[in-house]
Amino acid sequence: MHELFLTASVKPGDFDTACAILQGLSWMTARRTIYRILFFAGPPQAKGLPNTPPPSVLPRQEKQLWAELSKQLLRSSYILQATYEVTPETDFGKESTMDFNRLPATLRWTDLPDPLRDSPITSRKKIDVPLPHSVPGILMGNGQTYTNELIQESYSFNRGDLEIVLSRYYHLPESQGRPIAHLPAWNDLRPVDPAQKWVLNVKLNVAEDGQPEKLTKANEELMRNKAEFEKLFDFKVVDRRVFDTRIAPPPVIPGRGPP
Amino acid sequence: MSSLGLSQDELKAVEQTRQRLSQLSSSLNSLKNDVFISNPLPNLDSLQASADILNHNVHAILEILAQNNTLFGRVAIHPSTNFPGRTQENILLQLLRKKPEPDVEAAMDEGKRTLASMPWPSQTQSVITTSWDKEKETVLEDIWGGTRDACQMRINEYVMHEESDSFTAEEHEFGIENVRTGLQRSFDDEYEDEDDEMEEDEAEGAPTAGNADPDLMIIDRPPPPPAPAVSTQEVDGATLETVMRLATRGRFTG
Repeated sequence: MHELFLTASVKPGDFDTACAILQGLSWMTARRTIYRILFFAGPPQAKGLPNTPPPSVLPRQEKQLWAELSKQLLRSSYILQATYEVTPETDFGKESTMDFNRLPATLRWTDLPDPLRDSPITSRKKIDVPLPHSVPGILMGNGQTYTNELIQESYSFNRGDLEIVLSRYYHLPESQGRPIAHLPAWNDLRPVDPAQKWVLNVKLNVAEDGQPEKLTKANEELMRNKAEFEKLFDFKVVDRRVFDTRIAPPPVIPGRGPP
Repeated sequence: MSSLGLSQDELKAVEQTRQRLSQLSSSLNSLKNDVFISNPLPNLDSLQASADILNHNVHAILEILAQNNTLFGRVAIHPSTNFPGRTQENILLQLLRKKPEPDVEAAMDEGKRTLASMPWPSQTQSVITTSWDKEKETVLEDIWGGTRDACQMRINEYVMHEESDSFTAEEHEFGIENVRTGLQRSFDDEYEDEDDEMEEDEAEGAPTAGNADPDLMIIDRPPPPPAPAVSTQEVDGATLETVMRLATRGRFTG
């Protein structure tokens, strides 16, 4: 799948107005979702995903996605994300511990975006594999190591195929080499951005890979929407290296060949 | 039925119109009640939902009217012979009235006036007279003509006086020697060199990658240098890039 999106920043003071306007444009109330995102890093030498999960974990219809992901991870190692939906009322500030291997999660991979060519649209390949459970176990069994975690709070609107998402990220307290056992209370989270700005993304997905004419069409559609939205939001051209998920291979010393 | 002289289908069209009108009327009534009863006014969601419903209702009516345009054009309505015309005169008058009631007519006129004053000439052409049209066109032409003249004057000034200036007004204000151009050599030298390179490139039709200084790394898009004397980090918190980078990789290192 390919995703195309525009990026802008919204000040906390403008958030309510932005939501009201987006609500009017999309004829829907914002959907609030909170994700706990675990980040995993692949080994320095790309090895793909050698261990395919059993059919009890990987439904048949997702098998192709898994194969495609494995192919991408053979080319280079990447940072992968496992996202868990959480709620402030039940998951934060409680004694309970989330058992990541028993909860459903989405395994996300995104590629380095395509070169920009002076367009504010970021366009990149992505693969989302929804899995019913055991995501950390499967990833570790495939040579991926847990690195860190973040909380994402987002409000999203849909207008036709267009997805409009306002997100904010929060740090979780340090926890040596594994996700923290008890999430702190929602109000004690430390925002990634001290000014608490929101990141606005206006997104379109192109389900088919390898169909440049569909990408061009989506690009045009997004630009049409940009013309409408840019009276409200200041879209930024974001350097594609900001979205670089690749893991640098170990340095090769010239003359000695790969180790 | 036969006395009406309508076929089954035609009768169905009339019946459908009646149903849709009654739906519209009840939707309008419920909105009216909502607005009257709720204090404070109903929230944005419910108003939007009502507007959505009304929109659908009107759309459905328009659709039926358009489909059965010819039928409704020739159907004449008259009361049945056994209708108690004398006792129910009021309702008869109301039903058989051909002109809209005065207050409805006033509302319709207001709507027409609003439509005529909308700035889309193509949609209102049928409503307004040609002389009015002409007048409006001249006014518009004047506005656009003035705008074009102003633009041209500004462009002239830019080409004559400002085009060779590589710095923005803000940079001039802070002093151009403080501007971080991101270049190792002085700005003017680099500018001339680049000019030469550009000419060579045009001749060869190849990108600049080959002939650069071997010590210089080519980056696919160097970010613009931050404006001098403004530290965005302190004023606005983390930059958009920083947040996005962290959201992409989970941490800054590794």
